[in-house]
Amino acid sequence: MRSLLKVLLCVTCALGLAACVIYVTITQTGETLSNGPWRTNLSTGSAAAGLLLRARVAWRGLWALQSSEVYYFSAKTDSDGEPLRHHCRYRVAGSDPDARWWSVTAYNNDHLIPNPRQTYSFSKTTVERESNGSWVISFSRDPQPKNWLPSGDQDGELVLSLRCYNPGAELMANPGEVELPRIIREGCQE
Amino acid sequence: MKKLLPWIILTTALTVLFSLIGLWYLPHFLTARAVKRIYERRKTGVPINQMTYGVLRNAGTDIVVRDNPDTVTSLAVYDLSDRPLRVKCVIPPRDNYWSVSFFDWNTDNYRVINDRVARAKEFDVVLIKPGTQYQKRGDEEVIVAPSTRGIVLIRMIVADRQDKDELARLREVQKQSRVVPIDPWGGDRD
Repeated sequence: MRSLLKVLLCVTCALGLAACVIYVTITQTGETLSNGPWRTNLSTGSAAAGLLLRARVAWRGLWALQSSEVYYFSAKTDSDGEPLRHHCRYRVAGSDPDARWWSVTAYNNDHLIPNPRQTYSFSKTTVERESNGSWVISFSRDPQPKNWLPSGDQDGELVLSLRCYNPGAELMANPGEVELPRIIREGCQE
Repeated sequence: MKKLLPWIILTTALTVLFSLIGLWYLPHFLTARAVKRIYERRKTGVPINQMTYGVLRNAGTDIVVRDNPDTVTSLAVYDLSDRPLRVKCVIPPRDNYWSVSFFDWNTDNYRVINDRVARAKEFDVVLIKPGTQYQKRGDEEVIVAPSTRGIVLIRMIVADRQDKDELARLREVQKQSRVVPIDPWGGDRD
């Protein structure tokens, strides 16, 4: 009987931890708000996050600030819902989000993508704009003429992160509806 | 089937319990791991109640997941068991996002002050553990931490990470911020 209980404890411990890992690493259930390809959860960083979201945020973005300070959107897909892929070329196109400062950063498996230019992001203060103030960031493996954000050629999960520091009233009122950059797949190489 | 029912219930209950324990523990574990890795690279051990001044991260030097490559951060691991901690904050003289944020060891961001809400370009915050009697010495803000252990993070947005002059200016200001353990009764002037 005692050995049976020991086995039961071991099995349930393994199952419980496996469920925890699956939740944190695989599922996207913590990201409750979507806007096109962008996902976020407004409880990120705060004590209101609860057990599940807190674990997920710690895994995916340790020491995230609460949403009154920064909105963290992330995109694992393009605007058509297809996963971001290394061999594809994307245009991230939009105008300034309603925030004091914003940036779009690329990650592979949650880390910065090595490239000789050490370009990991474009931001409100570094992006080269069109004459009307809008901008286009090229997210691709191969160099592009303007605003090139390298996607690298290593296997792994590609993610674009959109950070909006000191979000404005419009963004805070309608985070799921305001216009955010579109991620348009331009083509893929074999 | 009736004989198996108690075992099924027990197995399910234990699995859920271990899963919840895992979710609760994970943020604590990830905080400890990130802190250990940050200071491993610096080969200084983990200094407690001491500010350390980070530099811009590149691919390969980004230890924290989804780190922001456009911020210069200062970090202090605090322990309020013995004494409160005074955080001396200095904001750079320009209109870029700056904040000092306080994280519990479980990653909850329980307080953040940014450059737009700070009452001056230089100000003090005193961090105390729950139940501490603290005698104010001036106009410092007193924050009661949810527990004795946590992280203080000062973030400064870099408008352009290629701008070496700006980086040098930020580094100078960055090093003026510091943390100092103090006597709760005002017996020292730290």
